Amino acid sequence: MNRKIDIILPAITLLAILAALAGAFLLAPTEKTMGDVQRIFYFHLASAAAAFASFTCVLISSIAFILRRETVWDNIATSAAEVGVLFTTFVLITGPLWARPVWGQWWVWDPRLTTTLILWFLYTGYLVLRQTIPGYRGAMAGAVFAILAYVDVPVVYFSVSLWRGIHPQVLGGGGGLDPGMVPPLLISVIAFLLLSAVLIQERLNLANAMDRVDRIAVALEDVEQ
Amino acid sequence: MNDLTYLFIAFAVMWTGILGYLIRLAGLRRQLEERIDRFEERIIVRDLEDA
Repeated sequence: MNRKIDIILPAITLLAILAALAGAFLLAPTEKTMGDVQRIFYFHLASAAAAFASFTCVLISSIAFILRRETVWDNIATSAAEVGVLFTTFVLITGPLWARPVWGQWWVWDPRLTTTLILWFLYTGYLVLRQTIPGYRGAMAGAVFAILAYVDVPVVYFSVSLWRGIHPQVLGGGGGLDPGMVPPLLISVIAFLLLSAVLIQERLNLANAMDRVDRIAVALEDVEQ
Repeated sequence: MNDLTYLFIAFAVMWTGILGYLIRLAGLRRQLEERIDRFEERIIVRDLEDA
């Protein structure tokens, strides 16, 4: 557990988070019509990026689990799903906090918002599934479910262009982002991606250690009988 | 509520969430350490019985 990555990655992440905070609060210009509340954007979008990256990690590890049948891939998938749900929760909380003063409503059934809520339910469902069905059967069922659930990730991303809602399209849609907002946004996205990697790494270390302890428990019982 | 209040709440919710998740991981780590301690006790008792 004392590998270099377990020390270096959190240290770099901490520096990146401090840079992101400085970027969002000091470097980024104040938006003309929305004012300071627009600074939520730097955490809102970065959380979404971290959630998407985590769910992509769930997809890759679930495919790897089905192909290789090794527990470590299931551990990576469940760890990444937990972190993905955490960041999706942030998206779903920070979004309404930004929407209320700007749109005048906490929530609208806009395609982007609705598909993001579905995404949260899908991966929360995945975690419930993994908790309720233990062992290999649960891991296999979880892997299949995770692969199917990932379909919603591109749907969330393209929902703004597929169905016209009121949610703005910031990336790839000519969203009119002020050039001064781009560097703080990039720093924030990098910081949140690093943060998600650190949290997944920590959760994975624990999950692997729990598996080792379970194996020792079985071996010890065999010896005692 | 003014703009800064919304910004503060969003900021506070996020970092409280991350702190909460870190506390959860610390809790899981403590459970794991307690299990390892119990195994060590069982191994010591067994070694004493064997001796």
